[in-house]
Amino acid sequence: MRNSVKVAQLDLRTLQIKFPWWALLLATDVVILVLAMLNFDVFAIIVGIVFGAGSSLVMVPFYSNQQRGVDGLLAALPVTRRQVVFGHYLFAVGVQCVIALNLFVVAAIYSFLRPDDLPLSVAAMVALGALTFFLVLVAVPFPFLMRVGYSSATIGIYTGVIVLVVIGLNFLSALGDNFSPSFTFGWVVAGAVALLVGSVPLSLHWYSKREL
Amino acid sequence: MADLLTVKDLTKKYQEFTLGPLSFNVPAGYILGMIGPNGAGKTTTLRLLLDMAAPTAGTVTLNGDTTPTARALARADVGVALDTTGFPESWRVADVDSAMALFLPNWDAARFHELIQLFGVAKKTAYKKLSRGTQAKVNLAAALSHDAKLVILDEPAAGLDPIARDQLMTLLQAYIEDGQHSVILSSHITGDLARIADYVLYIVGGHQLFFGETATLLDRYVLVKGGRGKLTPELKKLGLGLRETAVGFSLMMRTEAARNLPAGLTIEPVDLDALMIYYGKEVQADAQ
Repeated sequence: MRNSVKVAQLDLRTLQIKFPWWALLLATDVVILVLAMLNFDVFAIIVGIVFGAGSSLVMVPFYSNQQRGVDGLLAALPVTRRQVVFGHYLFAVGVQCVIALNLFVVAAIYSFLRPDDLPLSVAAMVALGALTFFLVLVAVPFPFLMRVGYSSATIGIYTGVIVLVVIGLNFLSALGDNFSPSFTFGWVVAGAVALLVGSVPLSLHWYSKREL
Repeated sequence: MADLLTVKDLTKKYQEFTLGPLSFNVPAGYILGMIGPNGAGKTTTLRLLLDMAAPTAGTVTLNGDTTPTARALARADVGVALDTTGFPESWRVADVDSAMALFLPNWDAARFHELIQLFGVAKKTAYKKLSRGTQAKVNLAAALSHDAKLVILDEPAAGLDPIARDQLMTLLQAYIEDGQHSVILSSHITGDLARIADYVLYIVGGHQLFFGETATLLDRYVLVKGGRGKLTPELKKLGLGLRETAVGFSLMMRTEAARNLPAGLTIEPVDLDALMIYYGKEVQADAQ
């Protein structure tokens, strides 16, 4: 487990940008809140930032692996392939949880300031929905990333998953009042978690066979 | 004299290329040089040693460990700088330092910075902005800074200037001096290898042609030189590799075959370069 945490830390270190990630996140949050308080429609900004950041951040370590042979570097370090896979998952799920939690905090602050505009329960649903989306984004492409690494094929799969999830969300909203929203939502979240857990053995198997 | 690495009948089959079977060992306190032309299988061999690919057959015993998982966990004792691996693009020297310290219990940050200084690497420049040779220097410094018992280097001198190459060869010789450390390096620059390698593994077209002491390999062959008129069909038959010019020829042959040659021919010792050029070409021609 300790080695997997180290791999996740290494993944996090590949996300280097000019400013610390938490500072960037904080600055974005402040901008969104200020715009929201000034009655700007910030929904599109939030969707863009959250989904764009959430989907691209988890790919960065794989991109880095492809560009500079970091997979080979991992193979030269005292970690097993199993620990590498668990480390990548830990990193990806960790990043997604942080983004979803951050989204919830921003929504909760807004809800506190303007309770009539956004009830806290809806803010929580939005954050949980985002996390569900992120889990699917990890669960489906990750085994392919473990098998072939970062490539145009995996980008295709990634895009496909995003399109499917968006279609699924539209389908669910189209169901309208026919189903209890919390019941349906519960199943969707459970399905995403099951998908994520199910993808781990496949990733382990494929990464164990991969030539680095 | 304990072996840090023992390889037995190591084989890897691909659709269009088969490596092996390879058998060799690396005792503590020695340098093994891997030579062979491009595509011979040197890098594949190193990747097999590091479990970056699974062998089709054969065994690798690294410091007593025989399974891939055990070898992986014992990799703190192995320093690696491969041609195909590196560090994330945005990393600077300090990032490499802290990342390696995370994984390697014997990581010696002071030694790493000393080597970085010695190699003249700009510390504040991102890895991707460094030249290929300077990137290789960072990789080398990382491989040599955690007291690894076995250091594996793939074409370490490829992008280096002569001064840096000389520094590297001196460093590697010093590294094994205590008799506890060993180095495996593959290189096309056979002059460097001849200078420092105690053992040589010679691979051509995936086949192991020789493994043993460098001096033994070089003693096995000689270069016979003479004017064009001296090149008889009998002499050609004895040769392993031939080069002809407008005025004469040079023929590589086994030392024992050169004992009863006719007068008027010059016999010279071979070096690794000549061995690769003459013998490698001949074997490749045979294979085609």
